[in-house]
Amino acid sequence: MEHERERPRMGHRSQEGGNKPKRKVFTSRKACRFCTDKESKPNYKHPKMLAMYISERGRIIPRRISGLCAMHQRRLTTSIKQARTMALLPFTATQR
Amino acid sequence: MREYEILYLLAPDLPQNKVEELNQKVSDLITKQGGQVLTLFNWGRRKLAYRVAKHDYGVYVYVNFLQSGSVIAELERILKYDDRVLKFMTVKLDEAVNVEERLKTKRELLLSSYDEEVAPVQAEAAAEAV
Repeated sequence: MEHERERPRMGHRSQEGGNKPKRKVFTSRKACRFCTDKESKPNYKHPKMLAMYISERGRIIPRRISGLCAMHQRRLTTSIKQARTMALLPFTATQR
Repeated sequence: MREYEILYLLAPDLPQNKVEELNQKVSDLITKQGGQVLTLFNWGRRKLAYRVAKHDYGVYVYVNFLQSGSVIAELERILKYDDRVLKFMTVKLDEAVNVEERLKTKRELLLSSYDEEVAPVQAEAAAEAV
């Protein structure tokens, strides 16, 4: 954390009086959900679980938001794509 | 032996006996080629995420089996040319399975991977059908 604070994004700003340097807000990174719960794995047969990781428009939520580890995000992506081919999950939000 | 699973999507208006006929055909083919069917499970009627061949609903059938792999091409050929099958997908789960050990753990694995998800799905499908 410490070194992040010492690296001002907008260097000149911090030298100007008055204007506070914009500090990046850090929230503690939550552990990957699939790593915490050893029982569950991303699986295309569980569309309801996968649906938590797609946006309203049907797009896959990126790792920086989903908070998954690289391995599980990769497997999640595969599972979502498999579920899409089987019409268990949407490719896009469709108007019916 | 390899472990495979195959999921196929059938037209919702297909009569029950036709569904069973196809399931029988699939499992016969697997066993005939020295394979073993671990599960054949009908997920029931489900709402599809998008329209497939003008259908909003579909019946999913899930088959989990052990076989050397020689049956896959034939199986997929059958599903491909059957116009009652809207979609299908085969997934290879394991390259080398010890058959005896796999059969011992069969029940456990089934419980952990299906009960929680499939049961509510079926309930949902029933509710939608009403």
